[in-house]
Amino acid sequence: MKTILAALFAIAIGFVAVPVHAENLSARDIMVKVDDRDDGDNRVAEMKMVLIDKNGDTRIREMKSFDKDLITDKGEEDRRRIMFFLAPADVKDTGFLTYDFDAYVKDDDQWLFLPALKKTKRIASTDKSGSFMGSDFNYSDMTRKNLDAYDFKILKEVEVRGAKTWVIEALPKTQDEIDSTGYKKSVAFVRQDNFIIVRAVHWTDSGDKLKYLDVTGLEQINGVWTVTAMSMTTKKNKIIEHKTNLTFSNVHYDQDLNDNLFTLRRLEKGL
Amino acid sequence: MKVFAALPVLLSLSLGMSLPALAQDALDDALGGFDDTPLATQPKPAEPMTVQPPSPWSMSGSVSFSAAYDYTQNAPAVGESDKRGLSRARPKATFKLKGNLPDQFAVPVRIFAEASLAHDLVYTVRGRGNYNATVKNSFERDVNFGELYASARLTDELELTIGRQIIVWGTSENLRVVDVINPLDRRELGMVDIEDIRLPLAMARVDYVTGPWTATALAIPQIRFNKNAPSYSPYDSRNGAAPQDDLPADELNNMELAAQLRGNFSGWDLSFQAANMFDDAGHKETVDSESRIRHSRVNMLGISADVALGNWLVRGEAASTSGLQTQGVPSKDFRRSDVLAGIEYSGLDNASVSFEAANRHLHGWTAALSAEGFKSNSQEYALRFSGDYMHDRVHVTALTTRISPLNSGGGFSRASVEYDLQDALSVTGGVTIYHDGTRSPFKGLGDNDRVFVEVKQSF
Repeated sequence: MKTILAALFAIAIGFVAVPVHAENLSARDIMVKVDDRDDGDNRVAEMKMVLIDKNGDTRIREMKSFDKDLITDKGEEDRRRIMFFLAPADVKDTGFLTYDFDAYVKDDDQWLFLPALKKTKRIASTDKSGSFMGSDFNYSDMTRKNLDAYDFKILKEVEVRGAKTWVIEALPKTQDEIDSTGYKKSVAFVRQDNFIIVRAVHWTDSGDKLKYLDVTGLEQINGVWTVTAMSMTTKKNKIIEHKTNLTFSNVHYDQDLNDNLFTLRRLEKGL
Repeated sequence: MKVFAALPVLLSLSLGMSLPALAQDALDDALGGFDDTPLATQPKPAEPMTVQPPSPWSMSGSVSFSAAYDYTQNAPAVGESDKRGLSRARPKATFKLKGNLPDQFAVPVRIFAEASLAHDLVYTVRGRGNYNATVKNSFERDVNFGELYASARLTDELELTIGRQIIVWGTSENLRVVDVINPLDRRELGMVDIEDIRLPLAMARVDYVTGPWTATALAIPQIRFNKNAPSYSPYDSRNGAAPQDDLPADELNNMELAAQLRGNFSGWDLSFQAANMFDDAGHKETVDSESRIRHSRVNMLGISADVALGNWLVRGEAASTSGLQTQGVPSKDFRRSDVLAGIEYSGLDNASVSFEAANRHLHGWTAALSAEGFKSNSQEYALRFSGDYMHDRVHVTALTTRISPLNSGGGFSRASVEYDLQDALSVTGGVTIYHDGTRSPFKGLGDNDRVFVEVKQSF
């Protein structure tokens, strides 16, 4: 809970299917297209996160989220997001407000409202390697990546659930990036028909663990291809330590979201 | 270690494999760790939809049982209560109701209400006759009406809220400089439930939002002060009857007024505060040879800010409070300047640590004020650690506070571990240690160290 989720939907929502010709694309070209895809705007969605431990015990978190993109004078696409917990009851009405800036040099603005304290506090954290609300996702999984911080390489092409994908290795160029994300290496499976990352494997910098991201639900909503279900599984020596299933429902784009929805006053008032 | 490092090389050579081939196998092995369940792909037509209206009526709350055990109190003197051993055995229920009035109202109206009811069984268990009536009246049955308000959104920018409310100002997490609106429950320092520590006040509140700024104005007709430890309770350092507290009447002339302008910017926040209100703490006056607590009217001007720098959050607050009165120099108004600086580091694995320090300077201080515990300058310190572990199943919190002089002023330290047995069901255990001091409010509290446990089910 130390950082606000920046963009859960960055990997989950809004991937426009674009027919492409794969022959001439480099690994970086592909990742640029992944990064540049149209991910819709003015989104409303509900999320359900199921945390499953190695004994099979489950805990459930439910949230509702509102997203709005703002185009800056420089043409950058900043994103504002306000999110409220619906369940479990002990964290109900806890709220997050995030201003996620397109410019990577600029840290996200994040505020957390704790209803028990009736207080809003700013969160300062450039370290995104921490767990997102106890899940197997960390905050870096949910934010847009700085492509300049990585070397990319196409390893091979494989089919994932019947769809052709590029298997792309991403190696951080600096220790700072490793520290920030918690990953020393990642391999992403990018679908060739729509540039959706449908699978990824992350090598954690500490603990020698592997984390498996797997997209298991994909729908076209309001004309936008949207990931509606995915999981992240943490394994060590091939044994599952913990798993998180994340599903999205009631996803709608192009809603009339007023700018005043994304203010601290609204964060404190709740849904 | 070199032997182990060389092992893959030797293995690969003995098996006739090259190192790149070995690495490729390891990579393929890692990439093969997915389950191949079918993809749920269901193209959906776009549906016309508007954002859900505000949430319907909902009830939430919790039931809990908490117990505390004092392991440091001495045996009582003749005529005193025995404060040793079990000091709390309290079931408690909390209810919250939230909802929206029907659409036929001209503007959206939100209703919020909360209340709690607790009954401490320790008095029954240990014998009600062993306790002073003031203690039983204060703690045994605690009915607490929390916030109760109606909030009307007059326009997208303007909101009016009327009812009992809690207002939290400033950036500090542990020390109060500009957070002066609501009185506090200080009956059991360091042991009060966090959600109950601020006491709501009936008020009218207007908020106006424009760009990054939010302007707030408050009119507070209800006059209410801190709840202090009742006489003869474990946290009462007087060990005798408290002076009568002369409360100003809840009338229009006594209405408290306050305002805040808050701005939230990229990487930093800035707020200005002003308040015309009664001094919550009060001062002693001698009336007809009898000591009484009186509350003078004070003016507070404040400013608070925070700046995010990477994993660091720097906080600052300052306030000037005029109109303070004392017993030592009657009929003279004093002014106090408070300054707070704090820093929080969030770069730890799922944890953060913060430190705050405040200085309170009383202008025009004289030796005549020493008897009341006033100093020209006094300091407060707070160090806090909080962390979430085991996928947010375990929550660790530790807090230590001190007032000056650092080695003798007093304070308390509290550490607790909360474990989520399942969703919304948790058990918490911890310890609070009091550092006996030379100054209020920690003078004479050194014998109150206690361990505590709470089981809580939220719904």
